[in-house]
Amino acid sequence: MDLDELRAQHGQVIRAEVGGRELVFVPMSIAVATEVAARLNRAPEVALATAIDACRACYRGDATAFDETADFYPLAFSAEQGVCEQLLDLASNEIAESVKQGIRAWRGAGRQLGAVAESLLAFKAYSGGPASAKALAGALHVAEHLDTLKGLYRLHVSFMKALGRGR
Amino acid sequence: MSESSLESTLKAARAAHGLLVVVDFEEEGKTFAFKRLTRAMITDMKKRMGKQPDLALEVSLNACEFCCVVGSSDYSEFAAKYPLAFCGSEDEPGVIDVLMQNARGKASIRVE
Repeated sequence: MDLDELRAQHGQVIRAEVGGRELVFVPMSIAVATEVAARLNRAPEVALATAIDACRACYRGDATAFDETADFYPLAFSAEQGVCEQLLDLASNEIAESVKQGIRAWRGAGRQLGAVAESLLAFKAYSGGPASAKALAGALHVAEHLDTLKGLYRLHVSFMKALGRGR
Repeated sequence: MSESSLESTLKAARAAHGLLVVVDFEEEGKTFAFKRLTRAMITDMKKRMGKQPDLALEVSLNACEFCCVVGSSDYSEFAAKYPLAFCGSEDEPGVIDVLMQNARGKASIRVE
């Protein structure tokens, strides 16, 4: 499928020139982007593999060419200044700036319990009206962790640590 | 190692591994060459650094050792003596920074 056809079908495409090869990616759906962002957040130690898998799913072209390029220049596809970051940004283009800030705060907190706790406390203090980035990040942490007992335990630990610091 | 034999060693390493990062310790007259970091190696490094950020220096030095294709017999000694040459500092990039840069390539990414 050529570039014009892809653009007509998906609205926008991402063109990346890596190691002399031109690769074309189509945008992720919001659902996929949310899942990828959650996976990046949940397991930062395998973030590169997650980012490359996400890029492969959006890549349109010869799979061998993608794999060869990803083997040679893996960091070009990372979620930090790589193709994956662009794909995630593109997926969140439609979202309001305040929500984007919340997503960034949620992604940025990663496994830092202090930052998670700050977000949770902001979410706990939220009482209607426009939500701050931290409160939104807190809501995302709750949504992310609610489905497992281990996740709930981590949330609990975050709270205990924040309260222990006298916040 | 004489200059001509070093040249031929580097040439052979370049033929076998492609792009190399070459480091000269002029005072000691020692040269090291490093092959590219593989995707598996970078994933492994990130995993270890994520789990134990305090071991970042060790992880970087081990990654350099894995990539060292010329001068590897003396690597441990030089890594102990000049660790920052390999893992870099805030002001000056080390071998690992150049290897990471190579793993990114000169990528240009744009939305159209």
